[in-house]
Amino acid sequence: MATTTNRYLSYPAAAAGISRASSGGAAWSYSAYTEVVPASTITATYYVAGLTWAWHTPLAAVDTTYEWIIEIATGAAASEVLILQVPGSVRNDTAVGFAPSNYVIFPEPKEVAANTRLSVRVAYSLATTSNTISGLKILYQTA
Amino acid sequence: MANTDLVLRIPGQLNANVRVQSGLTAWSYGDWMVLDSSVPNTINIIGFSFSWAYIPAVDTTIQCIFDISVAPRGQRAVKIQLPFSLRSDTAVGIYNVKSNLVYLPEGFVVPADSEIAVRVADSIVGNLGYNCVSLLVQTTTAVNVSPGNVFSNNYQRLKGNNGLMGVM
Repeated sequence: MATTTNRYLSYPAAAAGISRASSGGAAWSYSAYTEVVPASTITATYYVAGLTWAWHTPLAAVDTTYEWIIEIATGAAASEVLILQVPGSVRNDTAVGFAPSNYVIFPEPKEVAANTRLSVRVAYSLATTSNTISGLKILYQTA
Repeated sequence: MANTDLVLRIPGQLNANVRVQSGLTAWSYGDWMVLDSSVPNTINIIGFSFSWAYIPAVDTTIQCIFDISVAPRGQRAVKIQLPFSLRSDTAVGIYNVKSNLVYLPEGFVVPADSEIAVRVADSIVGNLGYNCVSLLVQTTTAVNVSPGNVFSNNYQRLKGNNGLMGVM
């Protein structure tokens, strides 16, 4: 395993994570982007090491798989450039229980230039119904 | 794929239920809990685990963040932050322990003689407790974890040396 002396930090940290609703339109239609990291906030080169979020509730219709894709992009609003796609799925047996964190750790952290804005958008397999993921935060490395 | 001949183990209180509490107000931190007051040699932190001890209200997301400090003894310097969340559909069910086990993509290097401490903040008003806080580390020292030492909630335990980790 490679090792690092960079810190692993969360954005946001001790604050609520990002909520992002799906489009509510056709299946696999993308939502608009929501800002995760504002420009000029992380002022040194950083490396996106992971992503965490909470599913919506109800999780899914019983015996149905909802497939999602979460996209992370760099750049200013309306000029986003995709850098990370994170697929996920959720399936319900019964509509009871808890939805723990979804954690995706990347095998190699993705380098992002200092002061770069990050935003997120989502799409999923269910048509017409809008669902919202919440508590979305990035894990990143920086000096 | 890279591999290792370092030993994987849990530092500090091997058998203890290490419990940390959040602060009273939303997103305020509780006290630091020392996991290891002086690591004997350089180690790499490669994973973190804990157990929820709180049931959120239905259709409500609780979010928390753990800060891990690595610094000389008695000092604090946050080197790792790990956010988690839990959302309830109905107030019955199980806790998915695996979701509370996170491996870092690159081990964080902890110099010898460092003190490792952890604290937590969350989105809830009130002091919430978080159980079974554990680090998984790589080290060159001889492992002293007996087969009966449970890693977290009977989910995984460490065994032997040569970097092997058994999954129960």
